[in-house]
Amino acid sequence: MPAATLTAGAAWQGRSLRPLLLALATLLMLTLIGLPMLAILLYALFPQINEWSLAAPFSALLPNLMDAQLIGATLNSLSLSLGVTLLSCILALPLAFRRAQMSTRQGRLWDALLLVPFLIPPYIGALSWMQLLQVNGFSEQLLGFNLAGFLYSFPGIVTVMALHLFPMIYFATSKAFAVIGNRYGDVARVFGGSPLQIFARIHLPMVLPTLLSSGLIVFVLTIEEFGTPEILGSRFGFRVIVTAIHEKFSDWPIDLPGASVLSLILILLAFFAYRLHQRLARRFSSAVENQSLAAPARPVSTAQRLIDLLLFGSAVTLAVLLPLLTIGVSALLDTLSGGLSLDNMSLRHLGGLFVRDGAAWAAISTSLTLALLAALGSVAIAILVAFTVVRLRTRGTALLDFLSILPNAIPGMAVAVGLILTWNQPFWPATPYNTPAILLVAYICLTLPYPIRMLTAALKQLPRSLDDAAYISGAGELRVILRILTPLLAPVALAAGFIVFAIASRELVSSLMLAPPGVETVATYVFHQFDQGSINAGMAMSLVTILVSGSIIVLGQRLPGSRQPEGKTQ
Amino acid sequence: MSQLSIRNISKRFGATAILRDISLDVEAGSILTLLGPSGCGKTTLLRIIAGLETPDSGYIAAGERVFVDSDRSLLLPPQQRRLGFVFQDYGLWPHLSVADNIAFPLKMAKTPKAQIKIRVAEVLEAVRLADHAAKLPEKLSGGQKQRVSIARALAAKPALILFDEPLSNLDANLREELGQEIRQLARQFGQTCVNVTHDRREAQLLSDRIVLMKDGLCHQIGRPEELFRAPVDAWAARFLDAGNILPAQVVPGATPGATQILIPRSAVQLADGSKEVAGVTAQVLSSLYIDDRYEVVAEVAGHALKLFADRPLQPGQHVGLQFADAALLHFS
Repeated sequence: MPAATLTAGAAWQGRSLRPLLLALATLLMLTLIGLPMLAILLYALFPQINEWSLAAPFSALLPNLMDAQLIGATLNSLSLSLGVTLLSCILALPLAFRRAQMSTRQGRLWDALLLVPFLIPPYIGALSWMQLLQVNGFSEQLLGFNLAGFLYSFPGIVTVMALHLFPMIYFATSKAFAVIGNRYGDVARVFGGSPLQIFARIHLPMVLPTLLSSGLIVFVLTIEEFGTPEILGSRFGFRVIVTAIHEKFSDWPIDLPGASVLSLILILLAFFAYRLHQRLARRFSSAVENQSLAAPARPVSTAQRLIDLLLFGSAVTLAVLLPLLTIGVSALLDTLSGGLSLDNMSLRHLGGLFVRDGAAWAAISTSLTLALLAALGSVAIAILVAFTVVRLRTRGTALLDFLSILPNAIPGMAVAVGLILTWNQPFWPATPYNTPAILLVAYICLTLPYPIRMLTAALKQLPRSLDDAAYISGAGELRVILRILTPLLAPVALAAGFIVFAIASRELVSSLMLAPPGVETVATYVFHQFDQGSINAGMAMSLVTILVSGSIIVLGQRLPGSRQPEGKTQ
Repeated sequence: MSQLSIRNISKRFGATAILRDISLDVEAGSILTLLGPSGCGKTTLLRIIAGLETPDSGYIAAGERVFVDSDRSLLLPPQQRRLGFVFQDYGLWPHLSVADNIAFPLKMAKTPKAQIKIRVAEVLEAVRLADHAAKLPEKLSGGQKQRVSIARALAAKPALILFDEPLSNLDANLREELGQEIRQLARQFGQTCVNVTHDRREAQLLSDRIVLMKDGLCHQIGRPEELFRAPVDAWAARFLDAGNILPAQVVPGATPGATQILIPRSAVQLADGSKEVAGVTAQVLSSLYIDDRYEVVAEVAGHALKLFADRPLQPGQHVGLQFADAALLHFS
């Protein structure tokens, strides 16, 4: 008996929510991530698209691409990113190698200290180096010299950024050294290798993929960084892609097509670096998976111990102690001109943050509110997307999959440009643009990859029979999500929420670009205080930011569901 | 009366046909087992009955309730089929207590609270887990987890309970015990069941009728003893391990035209030497004392033959063997 064919989905009777959930997830991701990216692309190709005209296609592309400023900014971005990546590798490699030979207890202490740079937002780090090294800065007041010439130069920016980012490579590489263990080195020693030969011929080639893949993350983070190049680079006319985009928006007339061409270049560079990173990371994990960890720690000589102390001590001093001390001390100084003296110490600026109705307090509460909402929104969307991608696996999920990894590689500046191009259009009946809601949209868009990655991985671990048992018991899709999966994913969702909160509460670039007039976030407050010369008030806010977002991150990592997420921290 | 009717169910994954035009009936209160090697389509058929997979075409109904009818483009989602399902990996929700796991289908059916309580206690009693109601599943042993899973499947008095290899995660002793228990529960509650397994012993333990499946088709259907005594061909005999299969030419008195002969182990006897009966000579390869008899493997013209003996034999020893002609099956 030839029977009619049942087409999947279409034939469902009754209340199946599957098509609806897929549609909702796709719509959300398209609106949040697809539209801004599309807007950038369209503006770059059709400069008059905002008038619904496809006139003069590519007319902006070529002139912009030939523009000397753009070429200069792109070359600067590339050389800065390469320089920072290279210096970070050089700083991280010896530390990582020595870390793998250390006792667990000692190693953990250094690890904890080297996590601190992640807690300092890079723009605050750059500001603290300025306080320390500029003309009449702390170094001059205490020791009689300044390094302003060095700080405001290409090597200066590279150093400041590398000191902030090298722990990224340090952690990845020291883990790789530990996985490889001492066995291969021991084998080489038996065959007569000297320590240097063993390092160069055995260990280095084996960690090279990890070194490169974490180096690429540093590359991506550098190329999308705004604060440091803006703060330090602007003093000696050093322009990178991100700061050039910022200029396109701040100088009249606003050049939207130009900004979108720059954004497109930025996205492409970051995207390719990120894909390369993923490929390398995957290859290394498959290559060493079946290696055993066994190899007893070798006793360390006193001389070696001294060298380790010197090595790690100076790294921690430069990357952690000096910036933190500078921030702390600056926050406690009454006036900048008063200099470093006990008479000039006061709690005025710290106290000023918590004055009700004050600008600082408004910025803090705006940031905390937005960060909380972003955490809730981002995690809720991530649960929906994870469920759709992992459990439904119908044809539409490939697009979702792509959209969910896209923001990994999209710099904050590009997100901001995309959101402006999308939502600053007259044809929308309602738009979040020019309201604090646009900040929320930006934060969710920027942070989505973290909860999506964490929750997708966690959901894949949950056996499918848990869902199936619920369906057969009479539960619909919504009940399965709310009563079965959400409680089971709660620890991971909470950890992801903490990460989103920490990032959103201190995000600078999109806040600066998108905050409506009169609305300040913590980051824009700090930035503007410096612009206006109220450095000590800015530093007081920085100190509080670091403490708050730091304790949030630490708290988040102690949650049972958290695993160190691979990827970017801002 | 047939409780479950399956008509002309077909399913393809890409180019491969998983199920080809399957039609089956399951009588009310009986246990039907879908038995077959992996890839034969048994699990897909079970998941289609549950609504977890969509067939390409066909018709399924439980009593009056139609689950699937491709002629009318009708497909009921799993949550509306009112079934029970026992998973190989138990499928217990780790964040809910034993009692809450069992109560879940009742809550979904909007059963009044007081009744839920009574019913949960009832099925917990039936699976002998009354003391464990408040525990989380992780605190239970494998056998206990599977009994909770069975209790959950029974709770809402479904028209049909589906078992997906319910015993294969358990160790051998427990398997037998739980198998007996499932049969007894099914009888006690008059429950219609469909069971899937690749293990012939599990099928023997748990079936009123067995459907032997091969390549997406029903190969043979019958009561367990029918299948094991009279497998339809050499493949079925081999899969069911129904006995020794020897080429026809080494068996004296084989029907002309037969190529292979099935010789049940119990049909092989040691010739006592006094009588001159047509038989074969074999050389003993091994002799092991298992359960309450000797399991002997002997070689006949290059083929291994298994038989039971009441006395030990020496490896290398030559023995005469006789076959009970009535028990032999001739395959052409």
